[in-house]
Amino acid sequence: MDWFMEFLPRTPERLGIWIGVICTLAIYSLLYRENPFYRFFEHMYIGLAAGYSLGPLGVDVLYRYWVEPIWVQGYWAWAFVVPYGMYLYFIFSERYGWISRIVIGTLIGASAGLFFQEFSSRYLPQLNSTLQKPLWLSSANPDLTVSMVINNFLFVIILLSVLTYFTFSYEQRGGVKRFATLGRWFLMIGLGAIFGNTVMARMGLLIGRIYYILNDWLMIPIGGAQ
Amino acid sequence: MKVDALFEWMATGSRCGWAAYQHAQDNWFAAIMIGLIVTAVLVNIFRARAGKQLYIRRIPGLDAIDEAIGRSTELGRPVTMITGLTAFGVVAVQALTIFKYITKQIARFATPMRLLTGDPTVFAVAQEAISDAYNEAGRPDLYDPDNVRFLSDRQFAFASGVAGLIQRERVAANFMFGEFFAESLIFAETGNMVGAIQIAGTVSFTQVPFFVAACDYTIIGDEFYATSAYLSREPVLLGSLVGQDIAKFLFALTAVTGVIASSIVGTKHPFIKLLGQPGGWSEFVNFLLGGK
Repeated sequence: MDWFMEFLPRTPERLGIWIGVICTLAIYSLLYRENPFYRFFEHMYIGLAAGYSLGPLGVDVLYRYWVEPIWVQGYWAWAFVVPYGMYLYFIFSERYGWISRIVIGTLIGASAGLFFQEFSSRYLPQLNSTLQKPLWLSSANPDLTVSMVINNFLFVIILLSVLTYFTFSYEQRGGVKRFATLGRWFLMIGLGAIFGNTVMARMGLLIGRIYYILNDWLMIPIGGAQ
Repeated sequence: MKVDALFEWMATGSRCGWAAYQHAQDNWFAAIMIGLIVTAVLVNIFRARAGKQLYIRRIPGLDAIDEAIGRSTELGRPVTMITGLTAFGVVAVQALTIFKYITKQIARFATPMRLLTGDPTVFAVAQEAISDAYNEAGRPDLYDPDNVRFLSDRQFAFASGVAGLIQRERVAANFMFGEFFAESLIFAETGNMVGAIQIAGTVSFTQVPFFVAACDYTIIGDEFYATSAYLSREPVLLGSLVGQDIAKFLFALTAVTGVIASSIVGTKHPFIKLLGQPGGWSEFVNFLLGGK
């Protein structure tokens, strides 16, 4: 009887747990089939997310990147940014729709420019790191061991074969095709490792939810919990 | 000296928010590499524009696009196209190029479609792109703005919306192109549950394994860019792709030369530092001039 009285949502804390569990079960119900219970919580979730987005939009974007730089730090040039961005709304006008293309062009240009920066700061250091892989033992690299040499060989072969696989402007035939296929196999081995790793992380999330239902809601002590 | 002072002013003193200014930091190798890649891309874009037929090999997943559309038409069930949470930029434009091709195909058979996005800017542009696709296919009457939907910019709210729609409408074909994150497996598994043919393409390398596991065909990494170039035959995309292949060849050549050189002269030699390390250029010049 005590357990049942404690189980009921009689306090704000218990009510929060009940709501959490109902939401969890509603979303998991999709695993059986689409149903009105799921649909209600799906729409509620999307509605809550839309409302929630307004908070970060106001505080983390508009205030942090627009209001604060202008009014607190004195970067007056930012004043033009939001009116300029609002030109995008002209997309809904048949007559002035062309104005929105200016903003779209700016976004595409900025995105392409950032790609260059990313390339320079992310991929070129990787290229230089690749060069630090000697392929045989010599006095020029006294710290090198046989296992490191084998590792370096594997690294270079995988790099070149995968790079060959991702070339498109010629027909891959004969030896090139076989080398590219080898690259695909290496790629699949790598992807398999990522898959296994992430599935473990997802199982961790599932265990967390099950723990929440059993321990917090049903108050069944599991996993050493009191 | 005056130039340095100008850069310093731009970076810190102008109060115009140009603090993000960056320069080459003596990394001339990076500047030369980028210069060569840009040249290769531009030259090939000009070649493509001049009418030169640039060859792009066919990617296996492409044949499946028509197959999936055909199946949707036979079953009379909708096709879904998902850009994921892709923010508006290069990847979103490439994804919309692929979706335009798919829309033109389904317009011929009046197959119903839904395009779902989690980015408001992509949504606005997608509406225009899909409307254009129906116009180009000669069926503007089939375009319904409600078929292009922005669900939510919150990751799992978007995922629950997509999962619900896939289940409710029992979609027959599901295309996912763009950038995806942890929600990718939710989409792919839900599509699998309703028996949809699924084709996915993403540049998000960590999500590729889930698409490989749950989709019928997966377009991996750079194949995504090749797909949009192949389908659209746009000179800019074709030229870029051929230019990128030249860049990859350049990378492979540098890597092979570098590992052989580091095996002979050691990894700490100024020549190795020259190839990509900040400050490597001046160290190499000092080495050539006989300094340390």
